[in-house]
This record gives sequence, C-alpha cells and structure tokens, in this order.
Amino acid sequence: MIKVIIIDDEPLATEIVIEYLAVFDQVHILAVCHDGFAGLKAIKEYEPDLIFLDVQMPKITGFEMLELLENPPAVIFTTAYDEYAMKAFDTHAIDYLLKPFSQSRFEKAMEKFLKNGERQIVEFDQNISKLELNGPSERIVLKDKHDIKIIPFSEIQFLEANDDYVNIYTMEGKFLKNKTMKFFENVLDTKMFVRVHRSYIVKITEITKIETYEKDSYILKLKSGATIPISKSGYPKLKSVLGV
Amino acid sequence: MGVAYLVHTFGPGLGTAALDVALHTFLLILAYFFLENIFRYYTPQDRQFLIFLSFPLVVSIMIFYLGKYSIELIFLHQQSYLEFVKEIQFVRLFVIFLMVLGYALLLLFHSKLETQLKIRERAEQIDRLVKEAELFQLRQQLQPHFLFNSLNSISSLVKRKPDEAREMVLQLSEFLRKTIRKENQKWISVLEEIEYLQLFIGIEKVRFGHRLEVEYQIAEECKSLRLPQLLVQPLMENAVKHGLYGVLGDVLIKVRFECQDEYLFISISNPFDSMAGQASGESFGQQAIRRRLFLLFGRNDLFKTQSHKEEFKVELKIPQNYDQSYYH
Repeated sequence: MIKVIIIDDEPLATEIVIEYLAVFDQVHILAVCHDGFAGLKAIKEYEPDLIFLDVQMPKITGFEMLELLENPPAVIFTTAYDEYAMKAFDTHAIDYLLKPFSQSRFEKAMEKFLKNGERQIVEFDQNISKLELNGPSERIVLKDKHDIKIIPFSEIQFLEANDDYVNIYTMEGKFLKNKTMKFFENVLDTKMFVRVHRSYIVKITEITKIETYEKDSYILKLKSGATIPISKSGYPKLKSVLGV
Repeated sequence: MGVAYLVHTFGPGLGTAALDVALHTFLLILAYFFLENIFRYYTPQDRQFLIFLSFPLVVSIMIFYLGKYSIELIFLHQQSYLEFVKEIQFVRLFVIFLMVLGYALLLLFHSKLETQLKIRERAEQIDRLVKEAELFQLRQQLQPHFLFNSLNSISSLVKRKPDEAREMVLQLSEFLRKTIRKENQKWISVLEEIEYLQLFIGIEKVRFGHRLEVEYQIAEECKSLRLPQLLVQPLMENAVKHGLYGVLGDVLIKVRFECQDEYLFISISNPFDSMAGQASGESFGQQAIRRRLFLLFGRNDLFKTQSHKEEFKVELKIPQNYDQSYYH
C-alpha cells in the first residue's frame, strides 16, 4: 500500500490528482489539504510515503512547509511555477508536474516514484528561497516548540552560529533554524546585514556602538544590549558597509 | 581691440578708446548676466512680445546711462573726447540696444527649445510607462499563476463537469480578449471596468470559489463616470493574491466606487496578516500605478495604501474634470 497526501490550495487541482491516481490500485489517499499547516498536521498523523505538493499556498509555501519536516516523505511537486524556479530543485524531488499536466505525464512521475521505491529523503538547494520570484521569500519559517513562526528578515536583530543550526535573535527572543550561516549570508541584504564574525551576522541598524576591546580587537554593542565580537576580517567589512 | 582701434581712427587716443570699449564690454556682460537671470525664471508667452521687448530696452537704457556717467567721470579732463562721445551717443544707444536685444532673442529661442524638449521627453516617458504597464499586465495574465492554473482547472473539470469546463473556457477567452484589446488609448466607463473585474473574479472563483468572496459597493450616480484603463484590475489582482496567500480561511474583498466632488473614488481592500512577514513597501504593480497616475495628472496624492491590523486597502482618486479623450 502506498500512502498518499495531496496538498494544494485549489480544490480543482487536487481533484485532477485524485482522478489520475484512480488507476493505481495500491494507492490510498489519506488526506487532501488546502494549505501547508494542514499539510504538516496530516503528514505527522499519517506518515505518508508520497505527497503531491503545490508551491504557492496560503501563509507558507510548499518549500517552507518541507523545510519544517525532519524526515520528509517523497515529493512530487504540482505547480504552475515557471521552470526557472523549478530547475533549482528538479534533482531533489521525485518529479515536478507543471500544471496543467496530462495523465501520461502524471503516470511517468508515478513510475519514477515506484521505481525508486521506499522513502526518499528530499534535499533542497539552499538557495531555493531566493529563486522564488513571486513568493514571499523575505522571511524565515521555522518551528518554535509546537507553533510555526514566520520571521520577516526586517525583524532580525542578529544571527549566531550554533553547530548545524543558526540562532535567530528578534525582539521576541531567540529562535533556532536548521540552516547555515553561509545560507543567511547569501540571502540577506548585504546593505543591511554584515557578517562581522565567523559566528555572527548583525543588522547594521541595530548597532549602537563599536568599542575597542583590546589592541586591534573590537566588540559591538547592540540596541538590545547584546555584545558581539568582531573578527579581524569582519572589522574592515563592517567599516565599509557603515561607510566609515 | 579692433573696436578700440576703429574708434581711435575717429580721433581719440588709443588708450582712451580702449578704456571706453573695455568699460562697455564689462557693462554688456553685466547686462547679459542680468537678462539670463530674468529669462531663467520668466518665459514670455506668445502674445507678450511688448513685455519681452521692454526688458532689453530698459536694460540698454540703463547701460547707456551708466556708461555715459562713467565716461564723464573717467574722462573728466578730456573735453574733446566727451564732446565726441556726446555727438555719437544715439548711435551708441542704438548699438547697445541691438546687442542686448540680440542676446535676449537668443535666450528666448533657447528657452523655447528647452521647453519643447521637456514636453517631448515627458510624452516619451508616458509612452514608455504605458507600454511597461501593458507588458506587465500581459505578463501577469499570461503567466503561470493565472493562465496555467486556470487551464489546470479546465483540465480538471473537463471529464467530470464538461459544462462548467466550457463555461470556464468562455470566461477565460473573454477576459483575455479584453485584456489585449487594441484600442486601449481611451478611457472607459465605471460599468465597463466593473464588467471586466467581474470576469476576472469569475475565473478566480472557479479556482478558489470556496474561499473567495467579493463585495461590490457601487454608487449609482458614478456608473457613467470614466477612468483610464488598466488601473483598477491590477490592484484587484493584487488584492486577490494577497488575500488568498496571506491568510488561511475565507477571503472577502471589498470594492467601492464613489463620487467625491470632482473625483471618482475607488477603494479595494483585502484581509491580510501583518505578522506573516510579507514583503513590505509597494509592489512593482503599485509603483507602476502610482507613476502612471502622476504622469496622467501630474499629481502624487491620488493613490494611497493603508494597512490596518488585518486589512490592506488601496485608494484611488481619478480627477473627472480632465481631458478624457486624450489617454495620456
């Protein structure tokens, strides 16, 4: 038995997937969801083998939903998104179906899944959210205990490396996200954020003071009261962004 | 120098003549400077030729007298030269006037040319922006989100509900036809605009019918008012998009058309979540509309966006006492 969940915010779009799936006897559709939140819940509950996933959906995108899963099921994307964004991840998902798609194209995608059998870990290109042209990408979606938290880039005060994770500091406190510093260095606006240290990225409007710590070494004071070390290579970067 | 020598041949010493010429050259430069400043701020209209003439006249008389008194002061002890100067003073006045007038004409010509250039530049800019807006509009409607999703809906309906599929095909065709209509150089009536909006919403409702609701409030007396094309629909599309993707649950879009004094007032609101971290600031579509309104009416206060806690609203004012036959 293959457990399947369909996640798409347009009812007609889910109906055609159901219609096409009818020829696969071994498939059981356990849930049809219309947004990422419902999708997350259903995935947790049913632990599906395969999900059909739309990209642009209410509140969080399909990509953002997947990022929140620790052990994501196999994914076939069904979306009208243009190929530009699609190319970035076509090696990672089982397949992507560009709407509208034919039954034979759909069956090809299913064959791919069946051949690969078993679950398959979906990996994502770290730059994917930059490529989402129309989707809101100026934000981070993460899990905060049981809630899902959406943090706009504008609310970030600073970032701190924490092994494979990054601590995100905002007015509301500290949040954990499983991405690298390199990733954030790439996606954040370089006019607003500076990597002042191997372990720190700071928003320049948060800075209140640059203090000499010892000879040739400096520290930053932030509005929130936090103190951040500046590395030797970070100091000239900071100076050039601040224009001093 | 040449002039000084010329004067010298009439009798006075070379030094005296050179001094005289230098003095008047200086005065003329002063006058040119003065005129230039006047014409920088004042461009005479076609029928004000007398006013235009009066400037150089006044200026040249001023120079003439200034020159005359200066000469009388400087050459106090050269009686013969003073007499010579007096003899030719009207010739001198005339020459000064001619020179000043010539320069004034040059300035006038230059400023006229500049105005012409500015007007043409503005017209070109408007042309370009209209084209940009049209292109943007086309891209919007002809690209994945709208067209392909609509086609996908049709594909989904075609087997199970063929009648609805055909209905959708017809709606989509009519909408696309209206979008790419050729004569988009003119204003259309509120009624026509609303028909167009309803067509668009009809299609979106097939896709999102379970969530999307639109409430129209259209004042009877403004149904015949007119507005430029391609202004309201992109805003509607924005509202639908941000409503549908910004919140879970149902989306109510409110559209209002009203008359306010000599304006047609339009507002469109959609629910949104201020905490969702949607990109702040105006979208490309909104900016395009703001710029187009500025170019159409030369005003910056006709387009407003507001976000309250859970509602995003755009407001648009279209001046009605405006030449509507001319699209730009």
